[in-house]
Amino acid sequence: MNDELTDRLSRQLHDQVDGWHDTPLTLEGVQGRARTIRRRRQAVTSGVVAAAVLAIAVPFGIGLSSRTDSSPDYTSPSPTEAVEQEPSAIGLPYLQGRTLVLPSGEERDLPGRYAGAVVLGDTVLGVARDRETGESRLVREDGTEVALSTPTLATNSDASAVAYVRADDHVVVESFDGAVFDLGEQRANLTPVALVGGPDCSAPGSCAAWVNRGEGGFEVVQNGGPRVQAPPGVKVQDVAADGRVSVVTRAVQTSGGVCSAVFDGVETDADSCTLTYGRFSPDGAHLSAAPAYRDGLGDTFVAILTADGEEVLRYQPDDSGVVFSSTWEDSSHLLATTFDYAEGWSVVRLGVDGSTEVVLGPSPRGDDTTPAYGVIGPAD
Amino acid sequence: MSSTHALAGTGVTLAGQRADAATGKDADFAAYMQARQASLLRTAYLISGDRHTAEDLTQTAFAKLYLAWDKVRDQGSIDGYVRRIVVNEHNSLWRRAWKRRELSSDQLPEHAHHDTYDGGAGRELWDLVQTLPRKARAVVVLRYYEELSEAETAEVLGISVGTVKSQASRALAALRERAPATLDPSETSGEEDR
Repeated sequence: MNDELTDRLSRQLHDQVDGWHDTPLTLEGVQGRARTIRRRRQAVTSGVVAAAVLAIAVPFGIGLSSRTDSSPDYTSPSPTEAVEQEPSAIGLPYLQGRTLVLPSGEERDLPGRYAGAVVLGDTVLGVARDRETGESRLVREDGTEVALSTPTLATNSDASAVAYVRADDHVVVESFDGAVFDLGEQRANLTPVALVGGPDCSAPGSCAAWVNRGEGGFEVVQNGGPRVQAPPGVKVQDVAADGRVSVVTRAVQTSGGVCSAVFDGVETDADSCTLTYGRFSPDGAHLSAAPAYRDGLGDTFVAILTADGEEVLRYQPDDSGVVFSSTWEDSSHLLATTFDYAEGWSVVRLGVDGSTEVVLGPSPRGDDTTPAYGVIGPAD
Repeated sequence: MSSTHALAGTGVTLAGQRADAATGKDADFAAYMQARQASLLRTAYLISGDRHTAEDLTQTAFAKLYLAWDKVRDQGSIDGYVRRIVVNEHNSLWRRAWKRRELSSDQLPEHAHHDTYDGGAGRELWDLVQTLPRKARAVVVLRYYEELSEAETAEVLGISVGTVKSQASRALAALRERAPATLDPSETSGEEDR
């Protein structure tokens, strides 16, 4: 029966297309598509595709978050606002157009549409990007600005300080109290991913910024002290509070996908060539993950893994949906920003217990590359 | 400022060298594209079931191949690479959204051959193939059209041989279950149904 069916199947598939010999594609057309893909890859790599894509690499808003881990609270929210306002639906700040919505429910009008932001103490640091020139600036609430090399910020585990790369290629750490620590001039085209240490970086060895190189590979930029040993790999994804490192170990040329691993020193805790490992939960017990093959508007799913790589949840939007980014809200919940051509943008809360809940949206605002909600946090 | 001039001067020479290299690359790539385009387009159509989507998938696969041409060519895995890109792209939402917009007005391929030898049963089988889940359809196309082995299919799709076997088995079971009686030659009347 199988042979009969497979014979007919094979014959029918051939019959369906064997008369086709036309070659409608041109070299010029393919080269044009290649240029588009290259630009998109470069934009994604540097985090500049669109406003909310930049939220992918924007750190936690400190203190204003309702995260349930033991992060210290540096925030002094207004007592009046705290009493009168209904809390936000999520425990992280998020950008919605030119408004920053804080977990307390407070909404702050921003001077422009930020491509990303971080809340340090009670101060918002925004990333403004000139779409024509591609240049980015860190904008403080007092109006002072810093020209950036890459429009990406990375915070430490308690979100009391943020690392960024200035346009002159100096890696800089800025703390919640406004102190600025220059870790020195580095090679060009670095993107910060994680900051270990701080907020005070004055003592040698007290701060280490993990940065990806534009040409591939990564390194640790320190303010002196014993050298931090980086594991092998082509891209660092996150560094846990206990020192474990989530890494893309290699690209697979034949598939366009990648292999990933979690390193604990020189030991490998978990590895995969079917998933791209992402960020650790604040308590380090879980890890976000995406498909190994990640070209396209977004991912077909996002997963939550245990620290040793066991999958505990996979969230897959329906056939027209995509996961645009994800961010740990607290140690038990991952917030996934999704897009669906029928529904628009949503933020879905995914629990490590397997629960799912739409907490923002759906909102039809924005096109398919400009999310209506830019959740602020280290996401993947 | 002086460094800018120096770089600009260097860039002229490098640009010339790059142009020569690019010309050679383009010639090699164009030859491959010419030789394989029709074949890849056919596979893309069988996987997607839509002519425009097939062209889009094929163009994207060639574009990605173009970007990775030197490495992929050196590895001698060009055909596998472009097939895999077609499948992966078809599974990605980027394409799904595009396809969704097109399907309403372009359900049928322009050049699809309408079989007559079996009273339309073959066409019904093709319709059933298009109802299979994407990954199962890709397995079916690679196994029964491209005639790849289970191991080769697994390599192209980046899945295990066991998964290829189970996907193929389930796909065939689904086709048998849904297939009309006319798929059984003993029951085919030979009458035209159109």
